[in-house]
Amino acid sequence: MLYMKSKQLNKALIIESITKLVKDKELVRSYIKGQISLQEVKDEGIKFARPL
Amino acid sequence: MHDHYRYTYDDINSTYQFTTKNNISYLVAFVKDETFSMISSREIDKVFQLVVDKTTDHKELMDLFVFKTIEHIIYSFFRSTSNSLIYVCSGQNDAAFKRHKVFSRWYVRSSYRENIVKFDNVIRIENVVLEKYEVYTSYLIHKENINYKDLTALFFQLEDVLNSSK
Repeated sequence: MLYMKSKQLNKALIIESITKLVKDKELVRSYIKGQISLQEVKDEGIKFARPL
Repeated sequence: MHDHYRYTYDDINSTYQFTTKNNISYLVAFVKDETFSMISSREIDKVFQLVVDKTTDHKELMDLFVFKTIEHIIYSFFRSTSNSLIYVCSGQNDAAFKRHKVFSRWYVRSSYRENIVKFDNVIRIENVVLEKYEVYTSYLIHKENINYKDLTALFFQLEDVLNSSK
């Protein structure tokens, strides 16, 4: 029972994280297309990196 | 002479950018990703989401240099073996699947695949209005990443939990 609850919680968390992943990409694509500003993207919590 | 377009990082736009011979501009963004941190409840850094797109909807003819430029960017990204990369395609039509296939084709043709492993997952999601859609996810990680086992296990946990029926 406890395991099932834990799994359900885990599932909800994973759905939330995947949904955020997809949303982040759509926001960045909108930004690249000039449909929204950099500030709007950052306000959504997106952090750009310069890893190269 | 390079076999790819010259790309630069734009501090103002926070993206890498290059322009093709047909005057089409591409932006390449690396976004700090917290998916693994969220699902593991511990801080996992150096995981990034890759987003590549044209700044306009102009149709690009087949241009090998675009592939070569993205390849070079990804190759450079993995000079740090602790970096890893998530690439997602989603939507309710086959456009997402086609984008996923293009990315996979790029990987298969790339020179970096010798050291970089790509894993794929298809995750089925139901949104708040009960519409079902698929998220094609790819995860690229260097073979010498010291957290290789942990990180790949987290990636597969995404699919295992969501696609399990119970």
